[in-house]
Amino acid sequence: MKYIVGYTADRGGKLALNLACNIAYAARTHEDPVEVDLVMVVRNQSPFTAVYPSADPLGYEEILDTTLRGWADEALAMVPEGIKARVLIRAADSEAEGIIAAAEEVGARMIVVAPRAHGLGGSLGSVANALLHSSPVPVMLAVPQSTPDDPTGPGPSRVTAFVGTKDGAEAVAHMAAVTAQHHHLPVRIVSLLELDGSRDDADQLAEARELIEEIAGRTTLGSEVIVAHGASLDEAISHVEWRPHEIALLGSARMGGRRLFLGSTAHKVLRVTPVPVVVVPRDYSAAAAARIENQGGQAS
Amino acid sequence: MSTPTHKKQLSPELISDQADKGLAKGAVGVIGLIVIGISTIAPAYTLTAALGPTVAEVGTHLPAIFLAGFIPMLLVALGYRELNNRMPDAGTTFTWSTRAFGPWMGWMGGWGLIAATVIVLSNLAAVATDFLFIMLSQIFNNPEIAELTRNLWVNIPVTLVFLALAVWISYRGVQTAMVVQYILVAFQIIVLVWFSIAGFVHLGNGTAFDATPPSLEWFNPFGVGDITTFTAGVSLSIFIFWGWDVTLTMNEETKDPAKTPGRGATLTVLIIIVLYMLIALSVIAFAGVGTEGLGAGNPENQESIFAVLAGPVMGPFAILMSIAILTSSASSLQSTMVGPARTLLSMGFFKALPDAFGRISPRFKSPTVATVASGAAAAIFYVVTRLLSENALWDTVTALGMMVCFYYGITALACVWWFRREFAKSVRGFVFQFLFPLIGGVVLLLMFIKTAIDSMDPDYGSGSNIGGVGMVFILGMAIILLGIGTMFYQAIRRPAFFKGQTLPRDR
Repeated sequence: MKYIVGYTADRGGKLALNLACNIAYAARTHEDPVEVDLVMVVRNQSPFTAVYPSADPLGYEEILDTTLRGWADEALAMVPEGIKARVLIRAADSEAEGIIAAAEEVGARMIVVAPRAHGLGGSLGSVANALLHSSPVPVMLAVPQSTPDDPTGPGPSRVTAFVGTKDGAEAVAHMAAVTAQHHHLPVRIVSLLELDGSRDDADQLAEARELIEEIAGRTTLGSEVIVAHGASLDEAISHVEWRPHEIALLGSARMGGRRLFLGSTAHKVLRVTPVPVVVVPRDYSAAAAARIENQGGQAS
Repeated sequence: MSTPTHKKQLSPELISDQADKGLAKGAVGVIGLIVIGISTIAPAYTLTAALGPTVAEVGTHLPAIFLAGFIPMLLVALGYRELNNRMPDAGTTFTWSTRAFGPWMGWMGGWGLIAATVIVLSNLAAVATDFLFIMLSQIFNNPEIAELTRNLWVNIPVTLVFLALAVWISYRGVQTAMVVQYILVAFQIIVLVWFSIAGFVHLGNGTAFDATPPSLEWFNPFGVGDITTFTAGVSLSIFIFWGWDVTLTMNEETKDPAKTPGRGATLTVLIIIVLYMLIALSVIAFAGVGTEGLGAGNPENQESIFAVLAGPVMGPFAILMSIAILTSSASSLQSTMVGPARTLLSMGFFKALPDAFGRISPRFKSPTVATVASGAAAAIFYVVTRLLSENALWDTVTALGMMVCFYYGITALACVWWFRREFAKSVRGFVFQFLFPLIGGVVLLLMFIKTAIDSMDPDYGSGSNIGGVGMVFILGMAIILLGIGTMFYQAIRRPAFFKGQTLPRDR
């Protein structure tokens, strides 16, 4: 199983690499271990942006290549023993397009990137944002608080799926089940409930729990189900408790055509969740299932 | 090529790379190449900046000088093409003059290129600022807005903002789309042709400011007068063709590397020459070369000829000229920023400058320190010239012509030296690898020396001077001395490059 790390030779890139390695290291002895492919993306040069004077794309490219290969060496040196890792250097029109193309090239099951730490107005930065809106595979966002500096440290402790009543909830629950199974981890289903003051709280809670169990239950039988509630969404999220090194999953919605987007709830969850969040494309489960069957077939 | 600066690859089999990645192979046809060439030359910008100072030197012989200025440029470009074909990874003036002549000449060649581009950056930003205000005054029909650019407290900050934007765009590696480039170039050509036709119509109707019917004598380069005037004129007109040789350096990007570059370069230069002739004839026919009023020889008009003439010639449509010049200088500003940044990067990478200059942004894969340094140098150069000179644009264009002669000259001679053992093997080799670049290089370096000596005269260029020494000379020499000083400092502090350890001589 391949993970693609959108790597840049800076703090964010190291964070994403550490997170991917941490997960891969924890599951290194499992069947179909995680292989980490780092991708560094170089921009396609438009000849219509002529560089003058000294229009020497090749002379410049040589310096760039040397630098990139130096970065590749540094990155590979950070990968712990026992994990298969490679570096891909690819050209694309944008960083996000290059990462997605690499993910498709190697048939990756996950893209790991670090969002901008201090983006304007809580923005995740253009790359993470573009990936969340257009990636065909789940995207994991690395956060500094819960990524161990040493990737050989304790691995993921639990998989938490945020399941709502909207479309895509099943894909998230399914992905959570598959991930948990692969990594031998427990699953927790969390649903956020904004209490409607006009009705009895207990009634609303019971209703929500029933609904969520029905949606999630098909794929995650026997997992813990929690309805985190509060007068506001923020309050509801603040009631969710986290284990160290947990992984959270939530779904992206689809808005006409190929474009994905994150609902306002998802955005809030992304911003306040202290653990790495995986955003699962709404229609991902079908493809994932097909691939799992495929690989299962090859193994047997 | 050996690059001893980087360590041996630890695990090359773990790295999957693509050769020539990001290079748009076979994407550019002849038309595309012409668009690239014209956008790099930026005729609307170069004409407004260089026409006035050139007329001031050579009067009505403007067409002759424009034609003469192209010849050394052509000779050098043909030599450069030979080298570029031989070693596609030749790199910049810096890398291959180093490989041909050794570290010291290579260093100064690189410095000359950086100086020339830094000067042109400051000039581009200043022209963009002027025309921004002219355009605003045309939009709001308020001539006072155009005057704002004379207020240094407005002019300098706005110019610095233009430079900062260019640094930011170039650092982020933003690319200009093909469609945008086509539109900008077509627009420039239409507006320039419109201007020249309107100028001739005024001549025909007798409404010209100083009707001066064109004469064949204008094309006679020997009628210019003395050699000082001729050199000054040619050195200025080299600037107006600067950028044309980009068409010759495009190989793999073109649809047919054997034919497209040659055809594209030829057609580009023909279009540009026709355009320049039309404008030169029209400007002189309409305004004359007198030093009064709208006359092209009036020192008041030297800084930016279209700023003065577009209104009287084109009437209400003068705003189109403002837009053409603003877009042409702004887009040139952005693409030119990359040039010195890459040369600085290359100098940092090969340890000719501190390592910091060799740094590349992990996020945008573009030079970091080198890009910011180029922008900062242009900003400092602009502020200093603006404060010291009464006519900063004029003096920067003259100083630029001088620096272009300097680094082109070195580039051309590096070509001759490089091919010294093989040019005699064929007639073609003799002409393109020896004769042409030799003549081009010697002429340009002689022009550099001549311009430098002439520019000591306090009356040279705009007539600005410090203690009786011409401003252009002071600017030019200050840049070269700064380069020599930095070079020796580097040679003492970090001698590896100067011992030929990082970028050895090839032959």
